[in-house]
Amino acid sequence: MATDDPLVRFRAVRKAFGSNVVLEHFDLDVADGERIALIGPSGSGKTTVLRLLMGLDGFDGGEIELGGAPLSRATPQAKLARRQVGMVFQHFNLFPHLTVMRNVTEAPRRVLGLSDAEARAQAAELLNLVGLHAKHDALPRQLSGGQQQRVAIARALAMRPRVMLFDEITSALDPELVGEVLRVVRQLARDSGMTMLIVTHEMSFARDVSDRVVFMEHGRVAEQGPPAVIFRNPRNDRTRAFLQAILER
Amino acid sequence: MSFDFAFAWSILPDLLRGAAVTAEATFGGMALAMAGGLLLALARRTGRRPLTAIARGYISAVRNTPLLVQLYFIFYVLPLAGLRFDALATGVVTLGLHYSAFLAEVYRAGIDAVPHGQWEAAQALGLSRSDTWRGIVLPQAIPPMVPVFGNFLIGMFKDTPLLATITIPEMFGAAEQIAGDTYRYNEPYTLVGLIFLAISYPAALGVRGLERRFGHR
Repeated sequence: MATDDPLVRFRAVRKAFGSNVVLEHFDLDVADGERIALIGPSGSGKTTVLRLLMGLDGFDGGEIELGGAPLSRATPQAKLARRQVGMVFQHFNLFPHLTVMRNVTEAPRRVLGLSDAEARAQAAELLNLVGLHAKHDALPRQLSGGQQQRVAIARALAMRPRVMLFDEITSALDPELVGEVLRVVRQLARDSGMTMLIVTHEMSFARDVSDRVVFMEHGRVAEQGPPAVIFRNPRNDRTRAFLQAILER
Repeated sequence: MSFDFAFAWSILPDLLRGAAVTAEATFGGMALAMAGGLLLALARRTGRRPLTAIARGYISAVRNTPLLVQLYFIFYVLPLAGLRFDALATGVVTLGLHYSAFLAEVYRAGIDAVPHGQWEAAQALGLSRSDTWRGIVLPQAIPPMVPVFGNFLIGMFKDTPLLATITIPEMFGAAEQIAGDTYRYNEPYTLVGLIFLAISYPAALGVRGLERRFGHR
């Protein structure tokens, strides 16, 4: 599945907000089809990694490549490359004035140029996949948080991305709603072969769903490896302390 | 002082003809102000220096000078520079220019109230800038603005008597004409006041209804 050239490559990436340096000398290669869980204390730069790849924030140094295309400048090439990336947000960010169906069909119609019928057929399929076949005409505010987040996943998938970014997608949910959302992502990881970058504080989810766990601290990769190794036998003291703190919650 | 109902009845058609001009000026001015206000608000948001500076300067200049002075300037001073419009056109344009500066602020507040995450979600989906404005941001920003627009519409309606000063035969001008011709002041001005009240008050109630509808969501 994975080829020699990484699909996504971060090279010495630097990002600062004013005097607050969030990423420094950040390096990461992501193979095609690979699923990476990004873990680490808050403020370690995990979310920023996703935001830079998506283009929601610019970066100050280094380079990010996606399928060989450099993303440091807003070139048409970079824009096209980023169209292969989808993102699911912590706070869902559904469009509140549009029905569930329209949330999922809007971008495919306007950006991919699908006909209304094509976009609706695809959306019906995706809403089925996330278990929301009966909610096509509902507005987001009529849904639970877990349902909204599943619509957001369907909305991102509707753009047929090669890379999916999940940014703490269960952090804003009531505990009893976390499971239904994680189940969808687990299923997706199992069946789709899609490349995934997952920022999460759910450690058992990270362990199950990822091929590789990346532990970040102070804007760099502090330790990385297969989940079995990182969770059972971390070498880095900071990783160990972090995992202990999380598991004792 | 006496109120002559027969006389009042006889001048009513003239006043209502004036009211039609008032309505024309109000709706024309409001349409211009809504378009101009949106353009000003968008210009301010571009972040491009000259555009932003021009929009800002315009808004300050207009908000800080009286409508009456603006009317006189456009009607009496610009023709000296060779720019001459007929009176009603001048009135409509001036109302539009004046209120666009206020509506720009309404648009701005409405647009700023749309959460940042909406822009980010649109960007993550690859929606273009213009699709994001038209499909995502404005449809969320505008409904809460509707009652505010309604209030400004009523305000503009009540400003229209100023148009009489530049010879526009709107309702107040018609009343002045009648008063001047007949030396009878009670009936025409009382009627004008009542007609304003009869239109503004229900309109204000309507705006309150809109506020209830769009206010809390």
